[in-house]
This record gives sequence, C-alpha cells and structure tokens, in this order.
Amino acid sequence: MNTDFDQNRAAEALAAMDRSRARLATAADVSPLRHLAFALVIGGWIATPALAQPWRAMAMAGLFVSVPLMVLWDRRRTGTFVNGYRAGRTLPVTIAMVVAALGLLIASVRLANTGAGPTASIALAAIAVAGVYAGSRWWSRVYRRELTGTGE
Amino acid sequence: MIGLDPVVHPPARLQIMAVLADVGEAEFALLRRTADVSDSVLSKHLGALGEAGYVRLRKGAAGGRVRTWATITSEGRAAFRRHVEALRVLARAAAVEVPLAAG
Repeated sequence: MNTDFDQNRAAEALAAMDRSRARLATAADVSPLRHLAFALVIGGWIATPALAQPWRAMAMAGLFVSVPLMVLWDRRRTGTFVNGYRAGRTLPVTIAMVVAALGLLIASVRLANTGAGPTASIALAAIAVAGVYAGSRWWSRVYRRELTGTGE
Repeated sequence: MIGLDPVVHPPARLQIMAVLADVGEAEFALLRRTADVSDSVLSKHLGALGEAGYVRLRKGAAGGRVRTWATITSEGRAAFRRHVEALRVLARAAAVEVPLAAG
C-alpha cells in the first residue's frame, strides 16, 4: 500500500465513511407511529398491575410478543434494527429512559398492592406513554446527530 | 502502513463496514443505499469481506421475498476499528504537514 496515496486519501476515506453513516441515519429514521408503538408497549407494562388475573398474564404475554414484532417491523421497513442499548451518545438517553420506566413500574406495582385501585396504575401508564414517546424521539435525534456529526 | 487493512481499504468496503459496525446486521438494499454502489459492486465487496471472515452473509425471507443479510463478525469489527484509527492518524499527520510545508 502506497504511503503517499494513503496520506492524501485518508481524510477523503473518512469523509466517505461519514457520508455513509449519515445515509444510514436517514434510512433508519423512525416514524412517529413507531415511537408511539414503543411508548404504548412500555405504558402497557406499567398499566398491567391495574388488571386482575388472568387478564394481567395475558396482557404481559402480548407485550412480550410485541417486542420481537417491533424488531421485525423495523427490519422489514428499514433493512436493519438499531439496538437501543448500542454504545455511543444514545446510551445515556437509554439509561435515563430505563430508569424512569422502571421507577414508574415499581410505583405502579406498589400502588396496586396497597389497594390504590386501577386508576393509579393507568395514570402512571399514561405518564409513561407521554414520557417514552418524548424520550424515543429524543433518542432518535441524538442518534442522528451522532451519525451525521451535525446539530441535527 | 501499520493498522491499515487491505481488505477494508477500498472506499465502498469501508462504508459497508462503517454501517455494519453501527447496526451489527443490515439488509443488502440498505447497504447498497448507504454505500451508494450498484448491486454487483456490493456483491463483490461483500464477497471479499466474507472471505476475510469480516462479514457473515445469510439469506432470509421477508415479505415473501428472499433477502440477503450481512452481519459484522468480531474479527471484522476489530479490523474496522484498527483501520479507522490508522486513517485518523494519517489524516492528522497530513493536516499537520500541509501548514508546515506552506510555512
């Protein structure tokens, strides 16, 4: 491999690589419907303590199935699946969302166990849907910024 | 050059590896779009990356069609990282040399 050629071409090769990542960011962009679907799944988990058995178990089974279905949906729509737990600038966003969702789930279970009634869990689920929808959009923006190396 | 990998070096392969390093697995059509190459060129580059053990290829049905999926291997990921680091070192060296030559 010629050294002069590499020195002259290195920056160009890195720029071409960045362009392909920017195209990936565009191709893997997530629609508002997909953000909403994810938010509804998380909200669904937080709402489950409001349900009596066997409905709770059935709802949980449905939510379990919905996760691989969303992965399939992404893969069919975009040709790939971007893992939320990927390393990079998105990881702090993921951790913040997981911590918030777990907090709401624990609160929902505790409230259900203390006889607060289903309304409390449903209210927490509604908060989760709104929060996760906003968080998911935030995650996507951070992802795009990382891949395009720009402000948006 | 230390770190530069002749298998990853061609621009299209570097672009393919950059995408796979980020998402792990991608479908043929997405790689063609992101690397901005034709089907035949992409097939050729994926074949070379596969022969080097940097990428694994598999066929999978989706939406009633058979599609090709490429997955980066751990060897491929390591080779890509080394190659990009070597390119960055070269690019930095070139950036320093130009002002020196100008002065």
